[in-house]
Amino acid sequence: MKNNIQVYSRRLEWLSMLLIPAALGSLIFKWFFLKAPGDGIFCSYYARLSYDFAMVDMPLLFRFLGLLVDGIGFGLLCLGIVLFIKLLHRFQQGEIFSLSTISLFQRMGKLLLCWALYAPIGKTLAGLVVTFNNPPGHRILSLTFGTDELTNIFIFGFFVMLTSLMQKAYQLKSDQDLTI
Amino acid sequence: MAYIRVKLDEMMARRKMRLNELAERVGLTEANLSILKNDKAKAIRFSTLEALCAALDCQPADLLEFIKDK
Repeated sequence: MKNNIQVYSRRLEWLSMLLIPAALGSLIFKWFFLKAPGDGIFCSYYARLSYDFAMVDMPLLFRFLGLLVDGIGFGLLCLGIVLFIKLLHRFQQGEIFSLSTISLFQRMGKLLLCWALYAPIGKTLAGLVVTFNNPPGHRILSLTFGTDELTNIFIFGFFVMLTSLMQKAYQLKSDQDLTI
Repeated sequence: MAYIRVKLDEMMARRKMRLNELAERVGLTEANLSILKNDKAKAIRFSTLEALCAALDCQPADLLEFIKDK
């Protein structure tokens, strides 16, 4: 009989698998099909900037640049999700607390921390790419480092620290298992 | 790498004792005794050492040997 962890892991795995194409689709839609920055739900950040730029006039090269800038963050996040899927797969096989699951937790934490650190830089670059074709004086280069960014960095930093503790706990457990 | 070797098999051979018999006398599982015998153990409790010495009628030094780094 399957336990709760295995059942929930399976559901979460499906959800995570759906998340990647959905996020990729939204990213492509954002940079290639959106007419104005404030048009869609994906552009709340640009809408907040409320500058008089419009993506209608953006050359294809800049759309690609925007996709690249956003894609770096997206790639980090996707890798994190892929590792999460691997982890859930291990959980389904009944492998809960092993060296490989701890290593997956650790890699996931580091990736998500990188993503949290890159987020403000990505936003700055994306803002610049979007407004680069504006007339002089209307181009934007703003680095925002607020509570949202700090909270993410703190949470993922704490997560990375927890994984180190898990590794130490595993080491103690295996030592204890081999104490006769 | 230097390590401590457990000479359990030698003492068992001297006393003509089988693993299951020793396990029964000491109160350990055969699996745990195998870990000890094959030098896979990370640590040994004094109580285990005491029980082994009592069962094999020997001293701790008869069971343990320090192997130097080559």
